[in-house]
Amino acid sequence: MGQKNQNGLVFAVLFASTVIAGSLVFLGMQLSGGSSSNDDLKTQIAEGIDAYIADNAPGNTPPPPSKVEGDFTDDDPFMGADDAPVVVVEFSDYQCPFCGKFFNETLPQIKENYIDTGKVKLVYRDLPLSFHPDAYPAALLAECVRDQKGDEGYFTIHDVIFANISQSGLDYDLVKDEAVKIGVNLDELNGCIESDKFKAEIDADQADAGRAGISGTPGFIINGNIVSGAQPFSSFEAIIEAELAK
Amino acid sequence: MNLSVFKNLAGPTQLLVMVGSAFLFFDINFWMMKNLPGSRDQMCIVGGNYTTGNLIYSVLLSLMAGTMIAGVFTLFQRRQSKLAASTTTGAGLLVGGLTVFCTACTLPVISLFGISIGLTIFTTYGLPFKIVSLLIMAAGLWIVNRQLDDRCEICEG
Repeated sequence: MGQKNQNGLVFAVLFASTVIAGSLVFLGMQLSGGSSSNDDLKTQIAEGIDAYIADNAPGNTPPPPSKVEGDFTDDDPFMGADDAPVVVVEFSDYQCPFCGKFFNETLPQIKENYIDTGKVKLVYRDLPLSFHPDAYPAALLAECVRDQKGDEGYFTIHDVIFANISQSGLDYDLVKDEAVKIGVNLDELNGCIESDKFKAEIDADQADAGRAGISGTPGFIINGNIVSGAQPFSSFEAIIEAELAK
Repeated sequence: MNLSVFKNLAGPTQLLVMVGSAFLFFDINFWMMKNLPGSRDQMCIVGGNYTTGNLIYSVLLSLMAGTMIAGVFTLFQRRQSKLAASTTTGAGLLVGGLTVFCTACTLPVISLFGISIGLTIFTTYGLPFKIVSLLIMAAGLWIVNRQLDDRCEICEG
């Protein structure tokens, strides 16, 4: 009996110490965002130090950045006046239901009150999330349409995609039919899709979202102010009006 | 609390088993919170379930799971000595060892444990499911507690 108890204690010590040691390493990796990326080791170390400093700032749990510096418009499709005083950069995933909510409920109001009146320029950038299987193909299809028909064609197809996509998928033939109706060459479109022509463009959009600290969709940068999620129109209105007043 | 399932943790072996198991369950929960898709603040986001509330829930569930496993470990140790004395074939020892206590109590404990963990995994941390999950785990702990007290009316006789 005594031997059995001793064996049990040895097992318990080995088990607990292995699990606890493994846990500490695992938790450390998770908290420091130890997933693979193309960053080199120096960059990862620097990011880790920055994260540590932010985490340990007095009286503070690190919130996501509320303001960001820099130009995040790139050469992506936009609606509204090019010289509008307020620029709204939207990082979006076509298959995200919250992006769909923004498209259906908030964008029409922003368009009517600010885009059509020349006060806001809205730039649409892609942030297809890994768990939405149709988000990337939809983004690619839209970019391929833009390649032939410009921003106007892009936003026509953007609207068609949002109107027809769901968690179960997208009817690509329907979208392509709509593209043909606005004058898109189908063979060229299919070639563009099959060659994954705009992968680098979409990757660049994703990289810029990461640079801005945006990891969820929809995410917005309004003249440097970060807005996360499908917030109601009033939230956008408040920020846009504040920027217009400057 | 003066329950046997907690008094059982006074032993270093049981305490270590409890702590190790709790860490293991917490790690699994933590990984799911940080890496599985979810939503937060009207946003689709990887790691959307990584919230303070879910962290607290995971700690609680892990401690309860660890306590249950420590209790089952104690019961297994008790049963091992009985099995070694009473069975003559390896198959009998194996089959008997799979039921830490009688089947009538083992199955509910395993089922309750599985349902509790399953509610976490498959329901993306919805509040009603979290509450039900904790209650189910508490029920499993109650059964183990009665076994530790040798107070099971089902298995006696």
